[in-house]
Amino acid sequence: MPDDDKLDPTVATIAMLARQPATLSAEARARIMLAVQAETLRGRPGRPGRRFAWFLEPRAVRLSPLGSLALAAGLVGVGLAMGLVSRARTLLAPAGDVTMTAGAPALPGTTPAGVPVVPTGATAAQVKFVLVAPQARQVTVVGDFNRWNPSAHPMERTPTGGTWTVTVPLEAGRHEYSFVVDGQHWMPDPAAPLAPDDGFGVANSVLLVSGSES
Amino acid sequence: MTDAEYVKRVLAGDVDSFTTLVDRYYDRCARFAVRMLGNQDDAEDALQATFVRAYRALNRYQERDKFSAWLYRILVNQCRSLAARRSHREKLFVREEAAMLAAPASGMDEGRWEGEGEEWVQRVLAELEPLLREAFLLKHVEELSYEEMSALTGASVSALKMRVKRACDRLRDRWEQIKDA
Repeated sequence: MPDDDKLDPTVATIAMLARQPATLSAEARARIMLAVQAETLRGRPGRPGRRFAWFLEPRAVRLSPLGSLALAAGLVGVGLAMGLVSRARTLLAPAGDVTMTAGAPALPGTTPAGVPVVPTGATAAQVKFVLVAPQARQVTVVGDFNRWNPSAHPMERTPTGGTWTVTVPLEAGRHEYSFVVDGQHWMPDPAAPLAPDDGFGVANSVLLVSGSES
Repeated sequence: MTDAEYVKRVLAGDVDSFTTLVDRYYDRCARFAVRMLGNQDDAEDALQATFVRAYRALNRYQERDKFSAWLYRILVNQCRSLAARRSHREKLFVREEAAMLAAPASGMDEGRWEGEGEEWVQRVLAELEPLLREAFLLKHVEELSYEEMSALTGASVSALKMRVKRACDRLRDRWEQIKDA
């Protein structure tokens, strides 16, 4: 007990009560670790650097109709863990001339709940999953479309190093997915909304592949 | 393994080691933040900001210092910032004074309260000025020495002793008020 202060019984009782553990929400610790993981994408501790700052800053992108179509065929998880904190949305675009702002509260190509929508006129869309994970040695995407098989869709590291991508044909409909980093760490897409708990205490990301023009 | 060794591992790229440090200090930091800020939401914000800032600044941590003291310094600053931004919330407790005066009497027995002890003590602490509350918590809840408190608050030992004494006096006076009510 403290050095030179002899507490009277009243204050000692208050101190004793205050020393009892405090209650925080069950998710608080997990949120802290997600926020720390987001920091890892910015660089090593103490050297946050600006290596990935480009991804984190809101910007407007002007697309031609052709560019929009190309982007519409691409997807989804710009897996910036910082997006977990800032709730940045996935870059998705419907066909047509459109201006998008990454990190804005509403984007074309999302539902009101923010679920990414990949429009496709056909029965399947080529969906490109992207995760920025510079320290990862191996990344795969798993989801209901590959029966959550970590071997089915390994992602490839881009030549610049920190970004992993894979393109997967997806049928129209709602899909849940997640990333598996280094064969053991499952993480949802930070840039996409989460589906309800899967019953195993893990939340997955969700995306919609629209079967008709949206 | 010591905190300093875990810090070295994190700096070498092993992020999981930071989880260990979080686990080691989470409960103590949570307790201080809740007692200091008076509500769970603010405490969670302060805690998250503390660990993220600690991670960012980890290479500035000097091994000669105790990691816990270094972390506490960040936490205290985060709590101060948050309290300043959201000071209006603290007035909430004062407005509930009438309810508080009535509350503990029934469940109180020889200085102990049944059931709502945490809520009661939270309210009493919230009535203290922030600097007095901070000093009281660091001294009598976190049980730091005055020298440690001085290092992390920047205040002199004599100033801290005065704050702690005033905090204790006010808590005791408040107790008398409640007993007489």
